[in-house]
Parts: sequence; C-alpha cells; structure tokens
Amino acid sequence: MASGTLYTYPENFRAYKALIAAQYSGAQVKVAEDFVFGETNKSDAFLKKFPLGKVPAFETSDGKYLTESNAIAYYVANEQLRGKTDLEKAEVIQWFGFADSEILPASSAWVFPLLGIMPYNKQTIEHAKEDVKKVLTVLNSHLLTRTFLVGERLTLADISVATTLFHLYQYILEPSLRKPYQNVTRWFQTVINQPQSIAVIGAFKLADKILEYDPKKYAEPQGKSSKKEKKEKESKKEPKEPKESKAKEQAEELDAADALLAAEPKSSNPFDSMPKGSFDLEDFKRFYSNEDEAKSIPYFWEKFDPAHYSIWLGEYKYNDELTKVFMSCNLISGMFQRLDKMRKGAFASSCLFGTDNDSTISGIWVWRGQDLVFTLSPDWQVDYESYNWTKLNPSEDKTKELVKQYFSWTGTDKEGRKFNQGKIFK
Amino acid sequence: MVLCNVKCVENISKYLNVAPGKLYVSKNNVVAAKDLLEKESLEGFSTIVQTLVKLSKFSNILGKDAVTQALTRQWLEYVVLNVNYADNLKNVKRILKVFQFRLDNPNQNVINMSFTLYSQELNLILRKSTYITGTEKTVADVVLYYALHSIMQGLTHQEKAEYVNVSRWFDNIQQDEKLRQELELINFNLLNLYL
Repeated sequence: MASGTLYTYPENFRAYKALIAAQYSGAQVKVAEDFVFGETNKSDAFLKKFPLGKVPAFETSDGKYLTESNAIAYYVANEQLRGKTDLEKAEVIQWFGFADSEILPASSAWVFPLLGIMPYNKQTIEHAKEDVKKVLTVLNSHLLTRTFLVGERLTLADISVATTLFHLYQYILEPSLRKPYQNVTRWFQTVINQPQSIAVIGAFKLADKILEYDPKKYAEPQGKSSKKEKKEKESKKEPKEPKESKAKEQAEELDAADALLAAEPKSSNPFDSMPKGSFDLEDFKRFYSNEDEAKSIPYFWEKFDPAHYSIWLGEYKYNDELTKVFMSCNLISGMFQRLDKMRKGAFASSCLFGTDNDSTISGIWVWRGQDLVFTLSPDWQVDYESYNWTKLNPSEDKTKELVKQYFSWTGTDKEGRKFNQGKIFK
Repeated sequence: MVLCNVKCVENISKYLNVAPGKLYVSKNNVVAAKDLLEKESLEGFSTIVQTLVKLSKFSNILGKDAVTQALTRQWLEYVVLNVNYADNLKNVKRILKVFQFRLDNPNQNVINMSFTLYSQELNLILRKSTYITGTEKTVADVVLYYALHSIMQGLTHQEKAEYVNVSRWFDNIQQDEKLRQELELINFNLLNLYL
C-alpha cells in the first residue's frame, strides 16, 4: 500500500485529490507539517527532490518522488478509483485532462480577478463565462444519465473534476447560475458529501451569492464581505482574522471618507515624490535574497542611506489574541499583500515568536522617507493601526542588533519566546 | 398481487444477510413475519424492513442522521402506499405520469390524493439528488430497487428515457451484485437515443 509525505499549503484543491483518494484506499498520506509555502518549496533540499518547486509534491516512504496532483492521486488510489477496465482507466485520464485544460483555465479566468489575484478585465471575464458555460453544459449532459463520470461507481475522475470545480461552486455558482446545471450540482454534492471527502475538506458550502468585483475591495480587503477573497490571495491559507470587526469598522470609515479618492484611479505612489537617495532598495533586496545574512546584513549597513530612509520597529498590538501559528503567519502575509504597492519603497522582515496560543508578531521595517509611511496612501491604512510603530535610530547599536536579529530570523521576543517563522516584505 | 410482498422481503433479508424466518401474508392482506423477533410476530412491510436492517450488520443504511432517517421512513411508507399497487399497467402509468407531472410542475398540487401526501416524488427527488434520501445510499434505495424492478423491466427504451432520473438512479443501484441477486440486469444503454 502506498504511503508517504505530501507537501502542500493548506486548502489546496490539487492536494485534496490525493488526500481524498487516500481516504478511499487507506493509503498512509501524511501532510508535511512544517511546510511554509514560498519558503519550503524554494529551499535547496526541496528543489533537489522536486526541481519545479511546485506543490502538491509527494515523497513516498521509500524515497521516491512524485509531482503533478493527478499522478499523486493515482498513486495513492485503489483499484476502484483508478478504473477497473482498460477503458475505464482511459476515461479517468480523459477527465483528468478535461479538468486541467477545459475547466481550470476557464474557472481561473473568471474567479481569480474577482478574488484580486489577477487584474480585472471585463472582456477576459466575459470570455471566461462563456467557457465555463460550455464545460458545465458538457458535464451536465454527461451526468444526465450517469451517477458518476466513469462507470457506476466513484472514481478519480469524479474526485479530480469535482475538486477542480471547487472555486466555481464556492464563489460563483449562486443558485440561479447553477440551476441550468442541476445534474452537475447533484453529482458535485454527492462527491463532496461522501464521508471520505468530508474527512478531508469538511463541510462544503455552495455559493449563496456570486462574488462581485469591487475595485474598492482591493484597497480594503479586510472588510467582512471580502474575507474569503483575502483568504485566497494569501498563499491560499486559512487565516482566521482576529481583528475582523475592528477592520470592518475601519473599512466603513474609509468608505465614507475616501469615496471620492476611491472613485478616481489610484495612480500616484507616494514614494514617487520622495527623493531617492543613494540606497538602492531593489539592489539590496536582490542581494538579501541571494546571499547569506552574514553577507547581506553588512551589505545593508554599507548601503543604507539614513538621510532618505528610516528604520522602524512594528509590534503587533493584539498578541494575546493570536492562536494558531499558521493563522498568525497569514495575518502577516495578508498585511504584506494589502501593502503591495508599498513594496516599491519598503522592505521588512516580520517574525512570529512563540507557539500556538502563546506568540507575538513584530518586525523591522525600512522605508523611504522619515515619517510613518502608512498615512500617505489610503491603500496602506488597513493594518497599520494594529501595530505600535517605533522609529529606530540607525546609528544606535541596539538598532544594529535588532536589524541583525530580524533579518537573520534568530533570537527571541521581549518575553523570551523563541523565533518560530518569519516573512519578508520585498 | 402487490409488490411489497413476501418475495420482496426475502430479497431484502438476503441482501442484509438476515434470516427472515417464516414470512406469510396475514389476514389483513399484508406481509408478516413470524419468527423474526422472539415471541412476537411482526406485521407490515415497513416495520419488517426496519427490523431486518436493525438485526443486520448494516444498521447505518437506515440513514446517518435524524433527517436522513426520517426521510428513509417516509420513503418506506411511500413504497407501501404507492409503489405497492403499481403491479398493473394502469397504475404504473399513473405513477410514472405523476412523477413526470411533478417534474414539469414542481410547485403544483397533484390531483391524486395519495400522491399529494408525498410532496417529493421519485423522479423529482432524483433529479436533484443521487440517492433517494440524498448523497448516500440508504435502505430506501434498496427497497425501491426491489419494488420497482419489475416495473423498470417492463419499460420500453423510450419510457426509460422519459423517466431519465429514475433510470439513472436505477442503473447505478443495480450494479451491486449482492443487491441484484438473481434479478435481471436491466439495460439502460439505449437511453441516449431517446433524449
């Protein structure tokens, strides 16, 4: 029986294929616990095993490596799931192809812009809607006379196609939109409500309302209505936003105050009007990414231009509300995502110290200009109030020590909690 | 002759691996079981089926939660009250016609009283769900399979296509050899020609 370790970020629909298949077959599939998306899969050790650096990736217990979600699911499946006859096996592969090359591009082109992952282009979306209609119509007529896609029992084809339809059913296909595709919906609900699926994905809720595109949301994605979209934007992990209600209040204030601002295209970046100085931030970011901290930290001090740049310590105010480590990490990366346009003139290393239910977040920030940067653009004001900001004097040794600690992801917080995870804003 | 007969209960007990004891038709003209429970004879199709399931190793097929269990019982009643008398052609047409009528006018009341008791008719229910009571097979599917087998056997391909949801469900259910026993595997392959 197949067994091994699956590398993936949480809530990855591709990884679900293998995890659900394993529920049916009884294969021992362990999800790598310490996996950090964007870090683990970029590490040398990982790339040696999986040169593409993509997930899901599977390491068998006897040290063989597999990539591509369908292949992994096939490997950990059982005879029934793979198809019992040669024809059924071929049909399963046919549906793999259908899911990947027909459903996924159409679904992504429609859903991703609404989630803010891709730029919104009306024409592209209209195109995508047509494509989605086409694939759903094909599926619907196939499933009129059939209970499952291949044969009369559930196979990998069902698992693969259903998981690929996740985003559409989660965000787009509200009751009126899914009405013409009743057979697809019947089948989809059957597949995701099998105990084996529920064990992996939990209870799945079909969309009540289509996710609307709202350009303002992009600036204030912490509002309640867009909680889901943020979830998707952030390396697709599940953040439980502890500050949600507060953030919502704030979002509403912004709604009123910035109605005019938001109506205009946000073109100017506050950094544009500041003198550049001698510190080439892009160059440092490159150096930092490519070199060891032993080299990059001296490099930072060598190049740093205190006249035009400032260093800040940002400490999260509500540490006592932090629970799970991965949720706190999502809080950090969510903030980074929302500050996307700030990357041009800023660099930061934000770290989580401690463990589940006993942790703190703090970070060292470097940005162009001498004042608190967040007030300069309405785009940047979502999270900063949740932090205490202290400007550090670049010539003090204490500052040097902090920079070293945060840039190299070592040490402890003020209360002695050990470094757990770090995120770089660059 | 009715469909919820001794033969049907025998099939069900065989599927469930339970010895039904002596089955007979009582003086009330319903199926009864003499030795299923100690010192007690049971009368009535639904009661006997539920007892059989409880005595079997598959007690979960009564439904995994309260709602499903209630639906399962409702369908057992439905079988007794409606499908039971579908053993002559006139009644078959009536049942299927009602199914079809419900399919086209899901919000209108059906004139026939015995059917209005059950707001969810088979074809309508099966249009939206894979199995009778939802997403998992329950004893309602098993019982309806046995009860409907002779009806489905008598349908033309065109009629099968007309009641496509029932046909789709039936074809899925009948693939279980243990369930099918010595009953004929009904062919639904030509369904597509009439759709």
